[in-house]
Order: sequence, then structure tokens, then C-alpha cells
Amino acid sequence: MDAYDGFYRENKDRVYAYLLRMTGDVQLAGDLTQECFTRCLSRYGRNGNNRALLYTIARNAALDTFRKRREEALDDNEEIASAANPEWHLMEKEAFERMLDAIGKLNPVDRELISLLATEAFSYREIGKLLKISETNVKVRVHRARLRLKALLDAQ
Amino acid sequence: MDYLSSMYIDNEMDLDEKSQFVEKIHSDQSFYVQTLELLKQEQELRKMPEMPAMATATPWRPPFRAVLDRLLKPMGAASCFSADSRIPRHRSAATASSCTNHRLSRWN
Repeated sequence: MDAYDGFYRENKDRVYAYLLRMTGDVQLAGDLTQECFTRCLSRYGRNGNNRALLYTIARNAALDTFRKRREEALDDNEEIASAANPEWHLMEKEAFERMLDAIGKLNPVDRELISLLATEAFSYREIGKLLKISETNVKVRVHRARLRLKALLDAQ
Repeated sequence: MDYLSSMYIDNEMDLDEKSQFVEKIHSDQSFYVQTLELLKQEQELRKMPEMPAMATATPWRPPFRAVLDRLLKPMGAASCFSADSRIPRHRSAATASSCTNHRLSRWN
């Protein structure tokens, strides 16, 4: 269990940040992070000590949640930044909220690519395997996703 | 090769692509501006808060079943060993034969 504890400590913040970008919800991202590690350990045991597997579980958990909460509007994001860290400065809080808002407006594939890359945990090849698309396709889509995000941020 | 700036941001370039990138940055002002803006955007994007303790109702614990399995495995092995060690090999055969003798004595 010690090795898995280390795996948890090493990856929890990145998985949390990934899920936060995917869901835009602090509480939900925290809950899903816990659930992912639990699922990973209970389903795969010691073999669950694998980052790609962990993100696949995280991704599926996020997609499941989207399916369940499709009708519910996530309009309680005003408190996101202050709930996440009360010591955050106002400027950072506003920038963070702007960014989450813009990510939330991206289409699901773009949001996923942006969120995965921002974890700095995967190469294009690894992301291609996770999303079942070619590496070349990842290259092109990532760049387009960044340009769309930029357009959304500029429009705010 | 519009996506060179993204490849640069994501450290995904080989030497040929690096060379193309430097040449394009040098010759194309709009590409230079766009790359710089995308870099700033990425810096903002990666500036995310650490997972707050309050985001989760309870701190993460490994599933109860996994903990139980881990605890019971050595106990199971130890109990088998102790049960086995309580019956010495040289006495178990003698005990078995005395039981048989006892059962047969009831018929005699």
C-alpha cells in the first residue's frame, strides 16, 4: 500500500487539476479524484499503479458525470476559486475563473486535449493512445483547440 | 505547419522541426506574436490551484476490502502454519492408528 500511497501523492494534484478543467466544479473534481484512485486500486490492485490507466479512469468518471448531469446547469461556479484556495489574490481568481469559463465553452474533444496537455504528464503519442486518435491528428487538433481557446478568451 | 507553435509549447519537436520553427519565428512577425500569446495562455492555463483539502469530504483512504485483504493474508498464512505445527508429523500417524483401534475395539 505504501507504493500506492506514493503514487497517490505524486499524481493527485494533476488528476485533480485535469478533472477541474474537465468539469469546472471544485467539489466534483475533488470527489472524482478520490473515486478514481479508489477505483484504480480496487479494480487493478498493484497493477493500478499506472498513470495512463489512472487518467483513463478519470476521463471515464468525468464523462459518466457529464452524462448524469447533462440537464443540470453548472452555474454555481462563482465560488470556485475562493473555495479552492481562500488565499488566492483577486486578480488570480478572476483569471482562473475566466480560464475555466472559456474551457467550459470548448467542445468536449478540445476541452479534453487542453486538459490532458496541461497536466504535463503525457506526450502527443500517449494522448493519441488514450483518445484513440493518431499522433498527427493530436498535433493538429491541439493547435486548433488552443486557437479556439484563445478566441474565447479574447472575446470575454 | 501552423501547429509548430503548439509543438514548441509541448516539447514535441525533433531537430528538423526546431529548425523550421526558428526560421518561421525569424521571418514571420504574426507567427511570432501568435506563439508568444499562446505561450502566455498556456502559462495561465497551467496555473491551477493544488487540490484543496476541503474539496473532498474525507481524505482518501484505500478501499476497505483492499485493506482487509492485506491484513488477512498474513494472518491466514500464520494460522495455517500454527495449526500445522501443533500436530507433529511423527505423532499424527500414531494418533490416527489409535483412533482406528478404538473404533475397532467396540466391535470386538
